[in-house]
Formats: sequence, C-alpha cells, structure tokens
Amino acid sequence: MKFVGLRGYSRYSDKKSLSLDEINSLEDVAVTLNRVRDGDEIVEVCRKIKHEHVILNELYAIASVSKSKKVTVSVGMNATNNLDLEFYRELGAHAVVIPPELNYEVESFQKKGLKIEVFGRAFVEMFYKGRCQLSAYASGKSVKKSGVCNMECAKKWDVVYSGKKICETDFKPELTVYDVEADYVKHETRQIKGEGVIENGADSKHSQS
Amino acid sequence: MELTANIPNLESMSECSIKPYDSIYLGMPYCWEYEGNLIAGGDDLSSAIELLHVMGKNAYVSTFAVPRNKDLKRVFRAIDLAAEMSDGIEANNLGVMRYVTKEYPDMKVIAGGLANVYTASTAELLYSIGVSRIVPAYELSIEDIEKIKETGVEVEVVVHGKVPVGIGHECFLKKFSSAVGKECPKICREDMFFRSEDLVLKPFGHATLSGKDICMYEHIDKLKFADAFRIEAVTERIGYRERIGRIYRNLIERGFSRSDFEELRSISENGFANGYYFNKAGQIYIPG
Repeated sequence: MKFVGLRGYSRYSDKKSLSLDEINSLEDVAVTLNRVRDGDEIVEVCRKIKHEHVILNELYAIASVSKSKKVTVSVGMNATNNLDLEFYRELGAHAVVIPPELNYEVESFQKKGLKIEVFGRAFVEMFYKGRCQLSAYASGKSVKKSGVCNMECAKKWDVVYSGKKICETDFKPELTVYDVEADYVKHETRQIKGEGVIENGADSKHSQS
Repeated sequence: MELTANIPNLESMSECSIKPYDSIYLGMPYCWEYEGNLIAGGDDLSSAIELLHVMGKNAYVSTFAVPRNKDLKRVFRAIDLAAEMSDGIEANNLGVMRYVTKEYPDMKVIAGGLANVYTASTAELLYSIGVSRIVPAYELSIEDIEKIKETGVEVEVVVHGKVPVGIGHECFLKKFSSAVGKECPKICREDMFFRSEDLVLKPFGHATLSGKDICMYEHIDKLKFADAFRIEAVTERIGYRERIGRIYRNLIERGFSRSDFEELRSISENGFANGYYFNKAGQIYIPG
C-alpha cells in the first residue's frame, strides 16, 4: 500500500503532497491527513476522498470518519501503550501506528482486533513524532499546525552546566532501519529527497546530506 | 480564578510554597526516577494529599506523561490512590485519560498540556467522555483556546514558567552524566541548559522545556476567560514556586504592580517569553 499526503493537510512539506483531484485519480492508496485541523473540516474533506483508507491525527475526526472508512491513527497521536490502543479501538479505528522508538517492545501491544503499524525505516527524531513544538517555539513554524519544520534540532547546541559550556551536541534525526514484524510495516520515504536527506533541512548546512 | 502549581516531591512541599495556591498538582510527570517522585510509589503521595487537605487546598495528582506498557502498573497504583483520596487526576496520555474516566466516572479528570488537545472538536469529544478540564496544547493562541473554552469544558492556562517544547523516549541529561560528574537522579538537580544562538532549552527527564519563562503577567486580562491559571514549577528550584505564586496571587487580588513585575524579571534566569498565545514564535516576548 502507498501512503500519499493531501496538500494542506499533511504533516511535512506541501511540496510532495497531492491535490484532492490528483489523489482521487490514483488507485489503491491511503491518504494522510495528519496536520492539526478542526475535526469537522477533516471529516468534510474525508467525504470527498474516494479511497477507503485514511491516516488521521485528530480525535473527533478519528471517531467520526471511522464509521465510513478505515482509519489509521497517525504516529502523531503518540500511542505508547495498551490503554491508548483500547481507546482507539473504542473510537472505531482500523489501525494504530506505534512510534519507532517502541519497535523493540511491539509484542507487548495487545491488538484485540486492531491492526498495528510500525516503521521498518524511519527518522528517529529528538522527540516522539507528534510531540515536538521546538520549531514553533524557535521560529513560529509549526509542524503540527502548518506542516513546516525549521529543523532546530539539527543545530549545534552548547551544553551549559552551571553557567559554563562543557561540550556541544546536536539532535539530528537519524535514519534507522528496523527488523520488526507487524500487520503493516511502513518505510518512511515521503520527506526524503536522497538517501539520508530530510527535505525540510536539505538546504541547511546542518542537514544530514 | 483558581491558581495552581505543581510539586514533584514531599521535600518541595513547604507551607510557604503552597500558600499562594488554590490547588496543587502532585508528582513529576517527566521522569520516574526523580528523587521522591510522588507518583512513583511509596507512601509520600497519601501524606502529600493529606497535607494539602489540612491546608484547605485541592490536591490533584499528575500521571506519568509518556507511559509505555511496562509503566502501567505504576500508573494504576497512583491512580487508585488518587481516586480514593485526591480531588482530581491529570493525564497527558489519552489512553490513561480514558481509563480514568471509565473506571472512576465521578473523578475530576484534567487533560494536561502534553495531551495534544489542539482543537475544539477534540476538546468536545474529551468533554463528552468525562474530561472536565483541559490544559490546551501549549502551541495554541488565545483565540484557539477561547474556542476550546466555548465547548463548555473548564480551561486551565499556563501563565508563568517553563513549558515543554517536546517530549521523547530518553532523558538527554543522562548523556552528560560523565561530563558533569553526576549520575541520575542527582543530575536533574543541577543547572543545565542547551543553548544555540538566542535559543535556550532546559532538558529535564523525558521532556525538554523552554529555557525562558513563559510570562503573562503583563497580559493577564487577555486570559481572564480561563478557569484556572497555572504556574509551571515542577522542575524549579526551591523558592521559585513561593515567590512566583505570591506575585500572581497579588496580581489576581490587587492588580498590576511594577515592583512585583521587576521581581519576576529578577527570578527568571533566561528572560521571558509569551509562549504561543499571540501566534508568534514561542520564545518571543511582547511587552504589555
């Protein structure tokens, strides 16, 4: 299965996402709407999508759209335990994406009819995907709200202890490949231009390229 | 207006530090290993709740912010005790939140600022399943928060202190144990920041906080629609909670004071920011 981002609604840049018409001209794709928008708006857009499978990031939309489509709960919702899975099952979700950091404990998740999706290949970031506001804090560019990340994490940071610099560090996202089994194994490629390059940071001297 | 703060352990619970507040959130939600963490087990949590009740304060119990399956037993223990003795339970994890509203339907349940409540529609859904108060996602503007308030749910906003800019899988402080010569859990009592040009962050357990103090002292009127004002102080040194609380208590009861505002400035080691309330970068401060 291929995941495609709907322009204006997908996390990460709009450059590689597709318009509604483009998406509806494709066959057999799942559509990602994992940017924060009000639930009613997402529900309305989902009605216009011909495909039966969407990836969502907003609680009301998950509950509402699940009545008519297969809904995968985006990694941005940060499901980290079985109580999260129970809640999404109650809301009618089809599948839940587990953060890549938890791949090694994926067997501890009790599916009970819910599908589990994991990352077989992912950028492991400074924070859990969906739990980072660093770009918005630093520059006002919000990944959650506008899908744009300024990649502040990849900067060089001075580590200051008791007022004195003791060393430097950075928190560059690391492309990580996992040997992991689940109902769906996703390979993160959407924001990659070339091997090891995150699109949003590709022009930055701090990018991984 | 309810004034709240958070306290990680019994050691931090001096009478002076509690006095300015109506309600206290108990426990350190960012790290299990924090010394004396009230929600990590032991008898301290019940003692803390009793102490608050003797002082006539509301006792809310925080829960660990990013619980994995292996953490749930400890989470359940704290919830069971909180349901029996406290006045409310704060959850930043949606699964934990739903568990509490189902198992303890009469309990006051508070969605914390890390629960990622960004929209009125999410707030409405949570309200419908028994969540009675929401601390909106820190990243929201005043207009967005007002929309959440319109759903009928109680809203609590941070008016002062360091807010998380992210939460992750590991504690960054531990990476620098050898450089500092302090191991966990002593290292988080130390004064450590990450700096890059004008940006400052404070690593703390699984969370990384704004290095600057969010300060809405000069803009407090714009937040008067909220039900509660929170002072984020769970990672702060002794004395911070008391001084900031006293200043905001004065603000609520007597209004703006230039000398109090200057005292706030003197307490903040990295300066002020408004957070995201004015739709700007979170680290910017707009004077009132």
